[in-house]
Amino acid sequence: MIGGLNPTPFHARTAAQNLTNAWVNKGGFTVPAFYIDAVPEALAARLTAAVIDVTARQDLRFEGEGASELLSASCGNSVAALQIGYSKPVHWCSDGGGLRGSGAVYRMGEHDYLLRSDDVDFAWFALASPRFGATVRDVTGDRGLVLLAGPYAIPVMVAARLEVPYLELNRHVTLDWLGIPITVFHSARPLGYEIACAPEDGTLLLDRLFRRAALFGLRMAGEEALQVLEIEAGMAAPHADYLPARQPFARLPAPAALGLKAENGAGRQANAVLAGIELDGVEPMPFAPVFANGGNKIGTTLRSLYSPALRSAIALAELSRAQATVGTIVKVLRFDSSGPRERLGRVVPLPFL
Amino acid sequence: MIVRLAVGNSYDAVIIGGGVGGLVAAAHLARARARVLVLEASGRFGGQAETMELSGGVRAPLLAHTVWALDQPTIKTFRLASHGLDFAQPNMGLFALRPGGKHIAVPEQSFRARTVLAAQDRRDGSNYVAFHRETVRFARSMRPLWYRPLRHARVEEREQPLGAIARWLRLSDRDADRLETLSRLSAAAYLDRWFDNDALKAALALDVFPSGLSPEEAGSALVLLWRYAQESCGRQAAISQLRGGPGAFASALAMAAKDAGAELRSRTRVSAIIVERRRAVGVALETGEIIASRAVLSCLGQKQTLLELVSAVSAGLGVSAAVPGDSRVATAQLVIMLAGPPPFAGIDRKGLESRFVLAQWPETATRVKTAALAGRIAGELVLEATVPTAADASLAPGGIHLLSALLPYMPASIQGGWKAHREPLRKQAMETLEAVAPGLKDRVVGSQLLTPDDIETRAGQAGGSASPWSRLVASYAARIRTPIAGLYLCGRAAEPVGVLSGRAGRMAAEMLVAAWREGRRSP
Repeated sequence: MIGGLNPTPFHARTAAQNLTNAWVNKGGFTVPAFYIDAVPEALAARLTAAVIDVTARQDLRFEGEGASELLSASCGNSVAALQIGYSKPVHWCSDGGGLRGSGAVYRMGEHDYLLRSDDVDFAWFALASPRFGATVRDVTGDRGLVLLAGPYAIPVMVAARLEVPYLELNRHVTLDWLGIPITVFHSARPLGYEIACAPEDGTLLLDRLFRRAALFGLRMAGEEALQVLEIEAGMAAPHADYLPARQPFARLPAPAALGLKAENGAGRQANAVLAGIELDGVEPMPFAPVFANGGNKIGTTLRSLYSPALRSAIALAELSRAQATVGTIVKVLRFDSSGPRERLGRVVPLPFL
Repeated sequence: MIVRLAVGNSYDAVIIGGGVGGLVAAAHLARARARVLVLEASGRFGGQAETMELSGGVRAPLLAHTVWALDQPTIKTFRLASHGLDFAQPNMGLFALRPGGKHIAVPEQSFRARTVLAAQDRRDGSNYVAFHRETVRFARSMRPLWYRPLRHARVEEREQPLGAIARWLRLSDRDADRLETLSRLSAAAYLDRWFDNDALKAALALDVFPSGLSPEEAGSALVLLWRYAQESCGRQAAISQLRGGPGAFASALAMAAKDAGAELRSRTRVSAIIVERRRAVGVALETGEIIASRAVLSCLGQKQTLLELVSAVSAGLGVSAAVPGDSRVATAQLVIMLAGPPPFAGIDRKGLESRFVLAQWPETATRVKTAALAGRIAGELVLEATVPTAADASLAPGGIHLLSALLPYMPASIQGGWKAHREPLRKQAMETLEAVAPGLKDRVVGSQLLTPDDIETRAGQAGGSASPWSRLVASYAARIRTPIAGLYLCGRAAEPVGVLSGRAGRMAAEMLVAAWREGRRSP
């Protein structure tokens, strides 16, 4: 870990459980890389239940009469049609069409929206906001946020007397949980429940979730497990998979090449598409050229990790649109200090799971 | 909003603002048989090119008491001389003023400098000839960047790599290295290589002030190079004075534009630029009238054009991020009416047709600018002065002499407002001039100080321009285009340095005409 410690509201509990003392700095916060081992933590999120500290996700609050117009201008017109209490995945582009970021927008009130994403792009919205009659605030530091993922997420909440088991996908609700004001978001990618609380309630929130955790195999999971979940969900992440556009009129990266539609009309069509590759063996092959059977280069892998649930290495890949047919056998070549290494793989549909 | 084309109310190009750039664009477009309409909010055309009416029939140039970057092709094409354009002094000399009367004369002809300057400093005298020759030669090789739209695909981006520019200009390896060096060098450091005398260096370096950079700032050497690349009255690097002041240039342009067939409307304020599917398709006037056009050109600044006249939804978010903030330094002007010629010691009547720069050290300008950035006026001023009546007696009847002094690096906004600082600054400037021209105060019959606020009121806002360096290395095409198709800048905002020129107007017109001829809607 490089840089100083910037604890999240859950640090008192995450530090106690982080037996390996492995940390990473992400989005201005210090979060556990893994607690004991990333493999069982990622498995827990697939087979039982896991809690991941995702406070590092960036929250921007859009308020004012022009908030809807501002978000529509950047993320597509469907934002204005969003009902209060609902959310939708969005991405936004520079005026040249280059992808700046992706995340989800939640409608919190009539003129009140929340944009949650993995990357900071505050200035882009804040500079334009006065012209739209809106205000934009970075509220990331005003809350703690955990992701409760896994098939036993609902039983865990029921056991903790958190009564939101029938919350629809892409919906959120603000409630008083036995004296703690929280907001629960049912998010789609990765699938789970994001629970936001005031920073001072972070420790209490985790204690309550873990009160009967042993019954359901609930465990804490770290950043590495989260990355596995993200790749399995087919999510390309800024800075991890692509360098987001930062110039106002940048044309690249094209959203279509990262599995996103050019919804606001700015994004260009690309010859590449985002695809999944299931690799032979357990060794990840990140950022390596991908070749078709005939030997032609057809793309490049992006992030690649071992998926405990699939028991093989998987990779997101930017592949030529013509060659990204599901079932295509590909060859991934990687050079490192021990020389070239080659792995066969198969193009699979996204999400992996 | 769908713009319905009313018969007789649609044009090939609508130009917002009747400043110099707008008039030049209108003249060139009309000459290419386009239907052009110029809309000017005030009652006068010319924008910053104004000759002010003072009391008693005295007239004085506003800001542009000298010119050196007027667009020569426009002057020739429209025979502006036949519309009254005349140069009272085609090639002005320079005096570096020093207290005690030991002024340094830099003659208008560089070959004379060896003898004139050598009388004060032998080394500087011989070096000046080499400096002038070398700087003019290199500046000439840089001219295509500052004289043409530069539509070449690989160098169109706003921030151009210097290597690409050097390649496009076909500079030799030595000159490419020189460009790389000059782009990082300050004007003061560049002049240090040639001269010893601080007052001489300070006077030559102050030519960079129209860019907003001070002579000690990195990149200001490139501004100096740009200045030496300009041409006036057929002479490269010459500085001239217009007969009748800059207003005469504006009048000549307005007449030329009308003669070419452009329609000019004054007292017509545009309330919005109409954009449909990210393309400008017309303008809405304050009266509610809608005028459709194939292209809209704006003589206003980037901020006014893109942030005030285009709706937020039409402009997109990128515009807010791309339009730079307002400049924090501006220029003030002191105009003094004198009963006799200004008493600069040792300077004869012919010498009064020169420019006078008062900056004791190159770093004086930096100190003045530093104070301006902090929102205050420095204790020591730098100024550039001329005596417009020396070469053009028509400006002041009855033997009155005018002295015009530009005071660069003033704070654009100042605590308490400019109104409260007008009189103290006037007195301070008078004291500064009195120190180099003892007895000046006794000859004063009247004076007027124009603060940056006054100048903005008369000539319009200048705000929202990119850094001088990035403007100098960007192509005209990059500065003229906006993120909105069919909308172009043609005024000061599209010039590398915001001085009286009109070149951006011609470039914008040429780009449009070329695109129309190729069958495209807009470039």
